[in-house]
Formats: sequence, C-alpha cells, structure tokens
Amino acid sequence: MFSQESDYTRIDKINSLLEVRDLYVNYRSYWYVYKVLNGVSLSVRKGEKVGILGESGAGKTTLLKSIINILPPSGKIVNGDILYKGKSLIKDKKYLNEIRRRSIGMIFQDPLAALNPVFTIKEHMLDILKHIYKNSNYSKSDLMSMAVELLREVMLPDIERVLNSYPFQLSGGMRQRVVIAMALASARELLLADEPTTNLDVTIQDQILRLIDKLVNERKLSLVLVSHALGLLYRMVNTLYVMYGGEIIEIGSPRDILKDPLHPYTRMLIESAPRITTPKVGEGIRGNPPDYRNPPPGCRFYPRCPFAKEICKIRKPELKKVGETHYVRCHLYE
Amino acid sequence: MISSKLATPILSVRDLRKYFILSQGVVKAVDGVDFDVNEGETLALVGESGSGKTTTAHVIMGFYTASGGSVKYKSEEIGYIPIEKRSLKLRKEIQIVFQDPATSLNPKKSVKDILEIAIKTHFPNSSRLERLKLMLDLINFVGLSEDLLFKKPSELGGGEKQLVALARALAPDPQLIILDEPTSALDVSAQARVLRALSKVQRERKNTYLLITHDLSVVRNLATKVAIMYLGKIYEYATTEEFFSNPLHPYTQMLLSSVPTLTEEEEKILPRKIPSSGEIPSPMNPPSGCRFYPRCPFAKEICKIKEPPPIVIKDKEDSFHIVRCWLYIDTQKIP
Repeated sequence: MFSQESDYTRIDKINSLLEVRDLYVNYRSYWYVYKVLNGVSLSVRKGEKVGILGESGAGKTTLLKSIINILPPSGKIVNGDILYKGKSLIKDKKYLNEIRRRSIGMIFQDPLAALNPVFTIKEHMLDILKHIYKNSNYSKSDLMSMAVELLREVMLPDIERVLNSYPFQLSGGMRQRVVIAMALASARELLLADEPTTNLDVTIQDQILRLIDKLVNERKLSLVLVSHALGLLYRMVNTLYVMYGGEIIEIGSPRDILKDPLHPYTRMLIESAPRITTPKVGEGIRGNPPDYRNPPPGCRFYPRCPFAKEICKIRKPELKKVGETHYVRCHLYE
Repeated sequence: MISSKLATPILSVRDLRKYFILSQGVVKAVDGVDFDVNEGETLALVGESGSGKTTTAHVIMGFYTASGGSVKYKSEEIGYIPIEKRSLKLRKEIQIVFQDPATSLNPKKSVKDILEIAIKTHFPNSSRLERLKLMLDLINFVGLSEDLLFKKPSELGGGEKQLVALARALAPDPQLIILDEPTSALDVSAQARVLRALSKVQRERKNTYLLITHDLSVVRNLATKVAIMYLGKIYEYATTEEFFSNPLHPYTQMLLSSVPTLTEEEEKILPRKIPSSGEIPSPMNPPSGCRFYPRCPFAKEICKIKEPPPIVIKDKEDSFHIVRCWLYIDTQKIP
C-alpha cells in the first residue's frame, strides 16, 4: 500500500492539532476481514471545526474511534498514522493515554448506550474525573464541585436531581447533555462528536447543537463533528469531508459542497435529501454501501455511479485540488 | 373538529382518548383527538416523543383499545375491537409499516417467506404459482429487484428492508396503510427511494395513508393534511399547503425553526425564528390550561388557566386550517 502524497500536501503543518495520515483500519470476524478504512487522511488545525458527512457504513464512527483508539477488539489499525501535535498516538501508548485524559473528549451517538444503566450520574462523573485527575491531589468534594460545574455548563436544570438519577430516569435530551458534560471533562483542546443528535427529537436536536456550538466557541475547542445530515453540519463547521465506503471522496467548505458538489455521490446525496420547500422527492441512490469483505478494487463508489468509466473499475482515483478549498477524489476530474 | 364535505371519510376519529393506568398515576397519552382522513389522502400526525401520535396509530391498528371516544373505519366503530378479535377482512384492509425494518422483519426468513406468509394469510386459497406471481409483482412495484427474494433481511440495506416491509403491507391489498416513521431509521439516499415508492403506490392504488412522523420534510413530500400533536392533543390541523404557507401555533413555529436549513429558500419558508426551549413534560402531569404554555414565548394569563378551544381560521373545500391557541381567538371565522 503506497502513501498518497497528494493527500497531505494540503495539511498545514504549523497549526496542525490532529493529523490522520493515510489510515487503514480492518475488522476481523472468524471467517472474514472487513477492509473498512482505505487510506483516510484528515487534518484539524487549532480552532478549526471539521465535519464528516457520510451515511451509515461509510466508516465515520470507525474513523473517530481510531483517533483515540477505542475500536472494538475486532478492529485494528493496519497502516497509517495519527499525529496529535506532531506526535504519534499509535506508536506512543503513554502519550495516547495522556491525550485521552487531558486533551480530547468524545460525545457518543446514543446516550443510553454510552451511559451505564446501573450507575447514577454522580457515579459516572466521579469515575471519569477521578481517572482524569488521578495524578493530582483533588479530594472527593473538589471533584464533586467540578462535576456540578460541568453539568451547569451543559445547562442541565435541577442538577441535584440529575446527579442522583439513573440514566433511565432522564429524558433523551438530558442524557445527551450528561454525555456532553462527560466529554467536556477531558476535552481541553479537541472535541469529537459522533452523530450527537441522531436519536433526539428535532426541537431538542436544535438545542443540543446550539449548546455544542456555544461550548466550542467559549472554550476555544477544535471540533470534529460526524453526521449524515448536511443541514446540521452546514451551520456548525468550517471544513467538510465527505466520506463514502471508507474513503474521503471530497473536501471543501460547506458552501463549496452545497453549491458546487463535485463527486457524483455528493451530488446525488444532496439531491436526494427531502426538502421542506417542495413536495418533490429526489431520486435516491440505488444499491448499497460496498461489502467491505470484498470491496471494489478501484473506486469504491463505482458500482453505484452513473458516470463510471473503465478506469474507475481498476484504479482508485487520487485526491485532486479543484478550487481554493475544494478537493475531490474522482476520475471525472483527472 | 371539522366535518368532511366530501363522501364519508374512510377513517373518522372523534374525541379519542387512551389512558394508561400505572401505579404512579394515569398517563393520558391521547387526550381528545379529532380528525378525518378521506380515501386517497395522506394525513400526517406530527409530534415529538410523548406527543401521543404513535399511541393514536396503535389504537387504530387495534394494538390497544380506546379508553374513550370513537374510531370509525368506513363508518364502522373499531376503537374497542382489539386486533385479535378483528375480522380477517378488517385486518386485510388496515395494514402497518413499522419504523425499524430490522425488528419488524423476521431475520431468519427469506424475503420470499416473509411475503408468502402475508399472502397465504389473506388469500388462503391461492395456488403456489399465484402467490409467486403476486410476490414478483409486489417486489417490482416497490422498486426492488427480483433476486432479493431469496435473501434474508440481514443481507439487505436499510432502504431495501423498508421496501420489503412496504411490499408485505401491500400484499393483502389494503385500503388504509399506517406508516409509523417509515424513513426515520434510514439514510438520506434510502429515504428518497422509500418516499418515491410510497408516492407511486398511492398514485396507482389510491390507498389512504396515516403517516406518523416527526420529520417535517417527509410531511411536505407525502401529506395532503397535517395534524400537530403535543402531549396528547392536536394543536394545529390544516391542509399541507396551508400549513407550510401559514404556520400558526407557537409550537409549530418552534418545530419549523428547529429544522436545519440549507438554502435561503428554506430560510424563507420558516417563520419568525422561535428557538426551541424546554422539553416536553411527562404526560402523567400535563400543565393546566394550554399544555404548551410553559414553553410558549407568547403565553398569556388565560393560557395557564383555560385550554384553548379549536379555532377555525379557514374552512374551504380544498383548504382548511384549525388551531388551538388563544392568540387567534379574535380571528375566528364562523363557518
């Protein structure tokens, strides 16, 4: 597997906070190997807000989990590197642990799954804070004050009651706020958010997104926000990566992607989104995401692409710069 | 709330109530709901969790019996007949497509088997060949390819699974199909396929849909009329055009404001921005007066004390608009 130099010429080495370089991640089951991430590169500068747009099965969660290496036992990084402030998180386990405690926090998609049902919120918060500050001399009451402060920052009403509650006793919106508070405990520099509003009511989604936006701005955090909803990402991020089949297929500003989508997948995705402005429905995209056990050898979108050519079957296209901030990985542009 | 001027509606719900009695108290999940659906129409019941929309659909299906009020299907009262006591004919005519096809399709059975059970149940005298032909027709009709017949649900994508669930619901040739959040669990590219299939089915078969959803763009794509539910009651009820061009209730405006917009066009459709605040309270303890008043930026004294009555804003042949809100008491049109 050869590295794609074109992928990281765009990376700003000076201000770089997080750099994912040509990452390959596989999952193993007893019989099969799933070759999910196929050479993914991504960069986040200090203060940058990055969005990853993709549908289920695209590998977005795999990518996020790889950054702080919380892949399940079946998952493995088989090639590539992840640098945080220039140091490898893959090669240096001690550094990774330090970063997990003091720099990066993650918001998970399903708060019910992220919270342990047999522990109260107080127990969750103390557990995390104890781990983060294990080398410091904080007393239990110090940690409790920190917990209260975090819950206040996520605008939870009735903090006393929340602390003494079990996850099932809280509403979906409140649970998600707790999960955000837990992520904030360690997110001093970078916040990772995996579809943070998917299971919530639409009015609560809006509140949670505004909360994340407020926290990111107030704390001057960098953000990596993963979602399948362009509308959601559009207002939250400066740079958008479009993912399909374990690859980054287009990069641009939200405006670039919306006004001038280049990759056929991006175009079809935008066209298919149900609109509130018109009763007309988009075409949708026939077919399904690739079977990672036997992914197409060339471009992974080729089987579903209406513009596929012979070369698409054979060779994976390279990422090409097409505009000031706009890049696309497609043979149509080579 | 409004009596239909056309032929008798295929589904007519009046003052429907469903209460659940728990040890901690009574959950008034549905608390006085009225609507009509005419043949060939699509009514969208829109609301968030705790609104009572799913419970309403489940009472109509017979998964629960009503606690009060009436559900009339083709003028026949069905609100108190649980599904296991309903005639085969009734069960054939009212079908449902569930939200999550992964749990509504038997993962152990092939698509062919799943459809065959539905067909055999309602057409017990059919021959194998006739069943096979119907299966192929159904599969093609919803836009799936025939080689899916021998696959199991786990081998299909989300959109494909949902299309199989739709084909299954169509097998007995129903008149009324309840769609319970049919696209919520799907990716955008699959959503479009399913919505297209649903539109096509209705255009060609002229069946009636009761659409349960929280997604307003799906409402725009499919529905002829819309009812907004909150804590067990309907607060706004209008034809779709009227609804989107003139959303009145503050809760409706809050819902519309929460939809993430992409274009200036979409921004224009959304009314003065009411940022969402607060959460839906428990249906065990609904606020007195108008149930929305604790979250309403326009709440007045009367809102805390008295429930607003349904106020008719518009009542024409093909366009109507009713809202339950004290803000509009002076604009009432006497029909």
